[in-house]
Amino acid sequence: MNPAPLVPAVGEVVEVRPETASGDIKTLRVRLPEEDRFSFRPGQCAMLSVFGVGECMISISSPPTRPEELEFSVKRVGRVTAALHELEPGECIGIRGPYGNGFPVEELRGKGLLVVAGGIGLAPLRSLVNYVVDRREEYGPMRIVYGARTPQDLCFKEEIFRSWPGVPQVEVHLTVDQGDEEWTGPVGLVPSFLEELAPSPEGVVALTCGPPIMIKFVLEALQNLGFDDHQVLTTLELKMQCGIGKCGRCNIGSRYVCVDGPVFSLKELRQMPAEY
Amino acid sequence: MSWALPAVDALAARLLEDRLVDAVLGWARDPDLPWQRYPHRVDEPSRVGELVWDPFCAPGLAKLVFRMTEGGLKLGVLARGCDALGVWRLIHDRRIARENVYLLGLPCPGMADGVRVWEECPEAFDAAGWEDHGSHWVAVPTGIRLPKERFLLDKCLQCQVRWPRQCDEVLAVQGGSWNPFCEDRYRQVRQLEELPLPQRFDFWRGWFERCLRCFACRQVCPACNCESCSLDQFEPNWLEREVGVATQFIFHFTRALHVAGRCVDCGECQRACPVGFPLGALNRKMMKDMEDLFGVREPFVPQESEPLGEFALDDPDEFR
Amino acid sequence: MKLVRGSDMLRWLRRCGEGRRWVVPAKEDRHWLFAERDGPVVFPPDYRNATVGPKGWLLPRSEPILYYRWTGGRVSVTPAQGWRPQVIYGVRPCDLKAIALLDSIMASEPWPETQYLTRRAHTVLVGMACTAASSCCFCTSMGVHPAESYAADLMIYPLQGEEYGVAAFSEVGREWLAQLEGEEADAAFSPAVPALSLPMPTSLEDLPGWLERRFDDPGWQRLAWRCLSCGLCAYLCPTCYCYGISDVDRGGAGRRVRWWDACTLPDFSRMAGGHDPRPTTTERVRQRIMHKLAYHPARQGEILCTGCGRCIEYCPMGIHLPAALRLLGGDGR
Ligand SMILES: Cc1cc2nc3c(=O)[nH]c(=O)nc-3n(C[C@H](O)[C@H](O)[C@H](O)COP(=O)(O)OP(=O)(O)OC[C@H]3O[C@@H](n4cnc5c(N)ncnc54)[C@H](O)[C@@H]3O)c2cc1C
Ligand code: SF4
Ligand code: SF4
Ligand code: SF4
Ligand code: SF4
Ligand code: SF4
Ligand code: FES
Repeated sequence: MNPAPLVPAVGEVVEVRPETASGDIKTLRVRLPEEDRFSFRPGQCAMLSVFGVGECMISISSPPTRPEELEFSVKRVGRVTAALHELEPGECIGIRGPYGNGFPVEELRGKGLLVVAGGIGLAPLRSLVNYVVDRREEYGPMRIVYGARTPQDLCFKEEIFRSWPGVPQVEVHLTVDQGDEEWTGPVGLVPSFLEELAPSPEGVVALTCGPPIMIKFVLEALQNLGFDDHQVLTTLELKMQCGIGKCGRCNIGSRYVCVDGPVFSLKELRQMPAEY
Repeated sequence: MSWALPAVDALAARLLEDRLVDAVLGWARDPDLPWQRYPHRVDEPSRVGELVWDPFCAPGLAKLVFRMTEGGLKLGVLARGCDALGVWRLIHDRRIARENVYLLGLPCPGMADGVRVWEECPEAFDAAGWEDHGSHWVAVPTGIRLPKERFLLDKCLQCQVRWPRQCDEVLAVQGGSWNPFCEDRYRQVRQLEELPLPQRFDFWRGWFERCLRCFACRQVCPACNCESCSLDQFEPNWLEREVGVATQFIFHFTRALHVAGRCVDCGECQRACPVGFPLGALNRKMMKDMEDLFGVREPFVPQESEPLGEFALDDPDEFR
Repeated sequence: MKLVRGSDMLRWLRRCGEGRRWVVPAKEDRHWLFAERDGPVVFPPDYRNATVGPKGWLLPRSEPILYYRWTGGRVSVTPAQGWRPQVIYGVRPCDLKAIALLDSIMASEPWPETQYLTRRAHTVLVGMACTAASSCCFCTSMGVHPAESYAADLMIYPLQGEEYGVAAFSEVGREWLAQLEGEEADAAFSPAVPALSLPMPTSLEDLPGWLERRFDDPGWQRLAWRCLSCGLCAYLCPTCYCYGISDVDRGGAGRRVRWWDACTLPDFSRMAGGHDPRPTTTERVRQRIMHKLAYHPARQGEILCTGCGRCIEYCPMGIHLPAALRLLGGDGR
C-alpha cells in the first residue's frame, strides 16, 4: 500500500522561465530526489505545493521520455499559483502524483495527431508533443494548431517557433486573437482558424485543451470537419483538492476528473451530464 | 372553525388576483412527514389552498425572501413576528426593496416541535384545524390539547416578538399574545454573566467543541446577508478551516459581533442548529450590551440608523 | 450468539477494551452524540440513534495530514500520525453500514487513503441492533436491516430486560467473545420496524438509471429553491466523506489539514476565476442526492445512503430524499 498518499515529496526548483511577456505564465523545472521519482504518461498531472500556502493541480508539461527533471507551466490565477510564481531556483517545492489517466499513447500509436490548444492549454499537450518527437517513428504525422490572445501570450516560444517545426512530419500552425507590429502570422480565434486549415480526419486523432469556451467551439469545428466522437480527445478542468478520488470534489456524474480524467473522448463526454 | 386558514387563503388569493404580488410565500404540508411544514411559494390564486397555517410551521421565511426577490419579484410574505423583523432587517440592510414585499402579518401563538408531537401524540395530526388557548393549542374537532410548555420549539419558548410589527396588513387571527414562558429575555445571559470566568469559559468551550461548523446558523440568519462572508474568505484568511477551540471562538464571536445590533432575535439560528448550540444566549448578550451601553430600547427591532451602523464625528470614542 | 446479563457484558467489554479509547453515545443537553468516555455504558431506553454519529471518530471534523518546518530555505515534512486504538460502542446498523461504505471508498484504488485505513484498522466496532426506530428512520427502504452487523466486530442484541445476546463478526470480535462467559444459544431478536419508507418510484436496482434520466427535471428546482446552502445535511450524514485541504501556517512552520467539506456549500466547486459548474442550490442539491442514489451506485455498486434519517430530521428547510423522489416522479408540488 502506498504510504500516506496526501503527503508530497519535496523537490527542488532548478529553473524558473517566464513564458509570456506579462509574466502571467511561468515554467518551473523541478528535480525530485531519486527515491521519489515516478514514471508517468503525457497528460498526467501532479499536485504542487508551497508549504504554508497550499496545493494545486498542474499538468506535467515535460515528456516522460526526459524523466530526470519535471516541468510545470503555471498560470497565475490565485493564491497557490501566485506562490508558485514566487519560487526561485534552489527553493523547495512539494510534489505528489502522478494523477489522472493521461493521453492513451499506446492507442495513438501509428495514428496521425491533430493537437489543438489555446493559451496555457498547450501545457499538457506539450508533454505529448515532445513524447512523440522523441519517438517520432512510432506515430503518424502531427499537426499542432495553437493560439493565444496576443503573440506575447504564446507559450513555449522556443519549441513552437524553432524546434518543433524542424521535426520531420510535424507542422505548427499559430494564430493570435490580436496581432502586434511584429506579428505576420494569421489573426483569428482557434476554432475558426482550425476550420480554415481543414485537416482531414482520415486516420487522425484530435486532442484539445484550452479555456472551456475554446474547447466548446473546437469540438464543434472538429465535428464539422468530419471527426467522429471517438476520434476526439479533450481534457477537462474541475476544482481539485485531493487528486486521488477521495475528496469528492471533481466529479462529473459518476466520474472523477482526477482519477478517470482529465482526458476524455468526446464519446465519453456525451454520456456524462453537462455539469462542468 | 380553524384558527386562521380561511383568512390566510382569502387574503393570499386576493393579493394574487389584484396583482399586488407575483407570488405568496408561506408554508405547505409535507406529504411524506406528517409533522413537517416547509416553505412554499404559490403563484396562482387557485393554488392558495396549498398553504397551511398551524402550530407546525417551524421554518422562518425571511432569509428566503432575500434570494426570491433578487430578480425583482414582488412577494407577499406570511409573516409572524420573527419573519417580519427578519424581512425588515433585510430592508434596512438594502437587500430587499421595500416595495417588493407585501407583509401579511400573522399574530403567532408559538410553534410546536413537530417531531416531538409526532413521537408523543401522533393523533394530534388528525386535526382539521387548531385554536390557540394561551397555554395550549387545541385541535379541532378532536379536542386534543397540546401543552405549549412541553411542545414549544426552543426558539418559540424564548420568543418575545409574537406580534408581527410593521406589516402591510395584519390578519385578525388568534395568537400574538404575550409569551408567558419568556418573562425575561436576558435570563440565560444574566445566569452566564454570574458564572466565574473559568466556568463561563468551560461552558462555551463545551459548545465550541460540539459545533460542527455546518454554517446552518449563518445561512438561515436574515442578518447574515453579506455577499461575501469574511468567514469564507481565504485572502485574508480570517477563519482557518481547521476546527479547534480557537477557531471556533473566532467563528462564533465574529458572527455574534457582526450581527450585534442587527440580530432581530428571530431564533432561526437556534432552530437550525442540529446540536442545540445556545446561539440565542450569545446574540442576546450582544443585545443586552446594546441596551446597557447604547441605551437602545428594543435592540432587536431594525431601525433606519443604528448605533453600530453609523459614524458620528462627535463620537466620544471612549474605547481608545 | 452468547447470552449475557447487561452488567456482565459491560464488565467484559471494559476488560477487553483495556488501553483503548472508548467512544460511546452520550446525551448532552438534549442531543445524543458520540463522545469519549472511560468505558461502555448502559443504554437508556430513549436512545435510538445519535444526532451526530460516529463518523467523526474515523474521519475527523478536521485533522492534520502533515507537519512542515522551514529551516534555512529547506523544508522538512513529517506525515501526521493521527490514530489511537479505540472502541466505538453502540453503533447502529445504519451507521455500521455507512462505515462499511466509507471503508470501501477509502480503500478504493488507485490511491487508498492510508490515514483513514490505519485509524480504521485500530478501531473495534461494537454494534447495537435496533429495538425501536426513531421517527425518521427508513433503513429498510435502502436495503439496510436494523439487526445486520455490516462493519461491526461485535454485535449486541438487546433481548428481554437485562438480557443481551452478543455475536462476533471478525477476528477481533471472536477473540473478545471467547473471553465472555455466557451460554451459547440461539435467541429470537425482534428488530425495530422503521416508521418511514421512501416513496420508491422504481426498484432499488433501477433507481440510479431512473434518476439519471431525470437529471434535467424541473423537480430539482422545485425542491432546491429553499435550500440554504449550509453543510448540515452532509455533515450529519454518516456516508458523506468530502473534504478540503488547506495549510495552517504559523510563521515558518505549520501543518496541512483536511476538513469536512460539503457539496451543498456555495464555494465547494467554485474554481479560480469564478467558474462554478454547480452555481445554484438546484445543481448542488441535485449533486448531493444524485451522488447518494445514482453516481456512487454507478461507481462502486452500492447506494450511498443507509436510511439513517438524519438529513430528513434536521434539514432546517425540509429538503429530503422522499420529497426529491416525489417531485421527480412528477407527483407533488
Ligand atoms: C487536471 C488539471 C490540470 C491543470 N493543469 C494546469 C497547468 O498545467 N497549468 C496551470 O496553470 N493550471 C492548471 N490547472 C489549473 C490549476 O489547477 C488552477 O489554476 C489552480 O488550482 C488555481 O489555484 P490557486 O490557489 O492559484 O487559486 P485559488 O482560487 O486561490 O484556489 C484555491 C484552491 O482551489 C482549487 N482550485 C481552484 N481553481 C481550480 C481549478 N481551476 N482547477 C483545479 N483546482 C482548482 C485548488 O486546490 C486551489 O489551491 C489544472 C487543473 C486541473 C484540474
Ligand atoms: S448551526 Fe450549530 S453546529 Fe452548525 S455551525 Fe451553527 S452553531 Fe455550529
Ligand atoms: S442571529 Fe439568530 S436570532 Fe439573530 S437574526 Fe440571525 S438567525 Fe435570527
Ligand atoms: S438541503 Fe437542508 S441541510 Fe442541506 S444544505 Fe440545504 S438547507 Fe442545509
Ligand atoms: S442521505 Fe440522509 S438518510 Fe441517507 S445516510 Fe445520509 S443522512 Fe442518513
Ligand atoms: S459529494 Fe456531497 S453527497 Fe457526496 S459525499 Fe460529498 S458531500 Fe456527501
Ligand atoms: S480532486 Fe478529490 S476527488 Fe478529485
